[in-house]
Amino acid sequence: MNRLWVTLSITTVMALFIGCGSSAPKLTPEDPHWRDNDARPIPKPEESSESIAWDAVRRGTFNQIQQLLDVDRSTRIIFGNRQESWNINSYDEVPNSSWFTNRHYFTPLSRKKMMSGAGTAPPDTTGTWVVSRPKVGGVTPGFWITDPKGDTYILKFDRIGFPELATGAAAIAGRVFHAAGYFVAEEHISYFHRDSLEIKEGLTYKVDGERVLFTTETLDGILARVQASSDGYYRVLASKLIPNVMGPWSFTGTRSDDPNDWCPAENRREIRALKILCAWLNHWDIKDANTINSFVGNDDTGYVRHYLLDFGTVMGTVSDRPYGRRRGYHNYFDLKDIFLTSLSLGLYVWPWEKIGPITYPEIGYFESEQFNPKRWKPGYPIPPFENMTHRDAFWGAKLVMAFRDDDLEALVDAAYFTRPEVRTEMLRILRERRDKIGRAYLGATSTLDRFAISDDGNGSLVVSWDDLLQDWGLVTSGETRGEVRFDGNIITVLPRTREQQITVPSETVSAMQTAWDAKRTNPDASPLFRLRLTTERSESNWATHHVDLWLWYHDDDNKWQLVGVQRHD
Amino acid sequence: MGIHRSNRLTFRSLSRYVAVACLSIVTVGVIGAEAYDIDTTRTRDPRPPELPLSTKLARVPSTILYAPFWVLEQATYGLVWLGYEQQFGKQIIEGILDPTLPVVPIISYSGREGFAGGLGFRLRDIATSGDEWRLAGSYSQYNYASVLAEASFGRRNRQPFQLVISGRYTKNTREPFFGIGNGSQQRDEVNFTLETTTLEADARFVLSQSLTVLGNAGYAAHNLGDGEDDDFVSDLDAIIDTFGLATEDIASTRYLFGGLGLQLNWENQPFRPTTGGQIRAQTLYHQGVARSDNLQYFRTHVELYQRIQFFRERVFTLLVEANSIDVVDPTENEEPPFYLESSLGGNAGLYGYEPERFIDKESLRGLIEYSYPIWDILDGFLFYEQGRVFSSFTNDFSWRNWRFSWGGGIRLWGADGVIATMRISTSQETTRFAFQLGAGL
Repeated sequence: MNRLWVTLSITTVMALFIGCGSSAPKLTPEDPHWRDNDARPIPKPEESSESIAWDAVRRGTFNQIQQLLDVDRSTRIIFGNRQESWNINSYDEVPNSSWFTNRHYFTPLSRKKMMSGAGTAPPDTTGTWVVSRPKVGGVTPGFWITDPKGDTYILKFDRIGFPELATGAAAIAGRVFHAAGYFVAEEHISYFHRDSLEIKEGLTYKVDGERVLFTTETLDGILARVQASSDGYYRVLASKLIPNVMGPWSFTGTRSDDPNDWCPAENRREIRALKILCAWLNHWDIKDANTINSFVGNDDTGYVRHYLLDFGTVMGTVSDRPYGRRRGYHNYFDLKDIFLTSLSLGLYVWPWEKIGPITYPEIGYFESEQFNPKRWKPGYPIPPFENMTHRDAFWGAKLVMAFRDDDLEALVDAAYFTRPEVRTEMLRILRERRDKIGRAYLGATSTLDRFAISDDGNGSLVVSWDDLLQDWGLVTSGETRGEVRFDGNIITVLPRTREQQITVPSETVSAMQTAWDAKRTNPDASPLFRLRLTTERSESNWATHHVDLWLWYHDDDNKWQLVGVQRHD
Repeated sequence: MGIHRSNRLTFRSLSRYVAVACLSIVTVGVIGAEAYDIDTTRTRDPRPPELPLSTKLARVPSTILYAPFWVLEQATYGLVWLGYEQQFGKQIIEGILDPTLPVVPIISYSGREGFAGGLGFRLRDIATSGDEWRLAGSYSQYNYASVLAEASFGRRNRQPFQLVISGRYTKNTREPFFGIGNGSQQRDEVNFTLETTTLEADARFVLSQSLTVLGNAGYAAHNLGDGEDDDFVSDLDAIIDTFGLATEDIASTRYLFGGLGLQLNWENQPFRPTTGGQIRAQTLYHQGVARSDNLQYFRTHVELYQRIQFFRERVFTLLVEANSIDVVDPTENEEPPFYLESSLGGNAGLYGYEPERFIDKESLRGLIEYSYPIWDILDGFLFYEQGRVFSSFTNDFSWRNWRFSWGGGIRLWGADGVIATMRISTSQETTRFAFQLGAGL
């Protein structure tokens, strides 16, 4: 028996090392793909149910044990060779899919679009809102209304004493996730007066398993528990009904009844890197129950779209009251941290203990001074977050850093904080947390990105890029050198440049064409050239990294195409 | 002319500017377009990557290793499904966590009692808002028995007046006794049976946020018998001989009692206090009845503690506690039997010793504790304590031969105070583990 284990272990480790060898990626002129065709029409899958209790138990214990006993995963972690995400394209990016749409990073959203988020227009306040459904579940009071246009929204309120805390945070978070590329519900800050509410005739709700009439007193009871302005208006976050919902999606595995669901959630980059966005916004309560599937199409055929839902526990708010300071630093039940704290006899001071009292009730304990992105933890362990690689994190950090200062202003303005000082403080916190994320994760690999290749008209190739660190003000400059290879042989070494572009001179281009001509007759050869860009920083805290650009030579029309971008840690 | 030239120049200039601008836009646009515009018409039919051989091979040991946990996982899922997702299961769990459910099981274990089981019945808000009625009974492996009937009116820390009326019967069949006085030896342990019946009324009047008056009155009857642990001397006559006791030292008793007390509290908060402290002083008069007419004595308890915040929520607590038995007229009245005297050991202080380990008229104990937060409602603590019993504070007081114990543990907090304490303590004689529900320092 022992021999069996030893043999298995040795085979595994050896095979792993064999698999580690680097080689030219398999690329074709079809690359890169920017859309995963996972919207093929399928019959409507079964509705899934959620169990918050089981989710907590499974994630906190069994998933942890399973990961530990996963020989492949554990061996990879030991040897620093974690499995990369499955759904990336040849540019090391995430193609659009039913999970994610590339938005702000590649095509910056206008202030107007940033402010409107996933929505187009807020609820119609010109007429009466009909209370159409009581809110079932959750901690906070609320109910569903139908506006004069016939659109249905769930209303979420602020708790008395903490005006704008819950609604403001959720409004910002929803817009961030939408702009980053995730599917979220339309959400708007809106105001209404008690007089503009009507209760749908015969509306009932359940109390201890029995149906009870939803009366004016019930409604007033709910409104008595929430923050109202002195003139009788209520501020709400109106979240538009997502049509055709069919239960939450899971942070692990795939749905067996959805043929489009090809990639386990724990191997999706956009779900792994969601951790970075969650850390930025302190979305501590991320869990299966805060996601939802929606069936797009008619009842017979369509496809499943995957949403993030309910940002009621982000930044400084938990549901409708301020977070405890420790949220974001530990899991709900963090055995390791409990053990460490017990052993330290209280002599170790956790960063959250240094967080001062609440200055602004609208912001709660949300702050930036003690925030350390790499130590941020969600409520309970989320497997995709734990699978996150350096490249996943880099990708997530790009999404966060793409929100520049004016974008942040648009986001915070969408929360409609009454007090200007709250707006200023929220901006400062978001900005500082964002930059901490940039400093924590961007340095893991080369920060040259958004490459382009063009012909200068004289036979030279101009390869340009964005130096993210420089563009986002994290370094003052960088010096990049290039090296062109074909079939393992160096063709030329290009001179160093401080520009965000490098020119491959016409002589080199000719040499590249000649090199290909010599190999053309080989049926296994492909006209794939590697341009390695190595960037050095004057600032010592940023390491030197290189990135390989793979250029495909179309000899029929003498054109060059960038087919792949390969990042190295 | 001027106008004409002006127009021509403007046209030419504009043409040039437009041309240059267009060229610039096209150039930048081409580079920019390739950089920023992603071509979403380039679609792929996604499929999982071909996994390396190592990954496929590694699935075998991973599956084998996880198999037992998979079984556990399925069983746990079933329990969670039953206990949380189903209405009746949810009610049971909620009932245990917040006992509004009328029936609560009682299960416990201790080395002395063995396994014990029983049932508790609890009802709330029957006669008045805030009242609670409890009936509980348990029986243990070694014949320990307990029956309690209790009615309480007014909720503690919620209402200014609280009255608890209770009747209790306990039969403890293996109670230890080591002799009287600070010099008693562990090796002299004997055991006896003590049956106790009490009818009691406890009242608390909250006069102000910090000051509470305590009132207490009742009747108690104690019957002594032979112990049931054959590993030790357990015959009452043999016990008398072993320790040279007088008959009254080991008599059964009946008495009425009543008294008053004051509690002054200046802690900063009931949940995990970091500063402040408390003084509690209480005196009870005991008057023997039936065959115990000569029993007349006062029992006085004084307790003082002060919390000192070290830093953040790290707190030092200093405690001094004294108990005293004073016979009204020593020339006329009998001394109370040993089981009514002051004691140290176990949950009464000197945690590292057996319960009731040291018995005498007076006892004094000092404790220093360091506590620190571990989790939301969980504290860790370390303590060191010293204590001693005396036959008389005035005649017998000494700084010599004080007993000490030390240890640590964890403490679970509720909104109104301590819910449970788990403590490991050690002394020169033994190491004890204790779990205590309810308040404790």
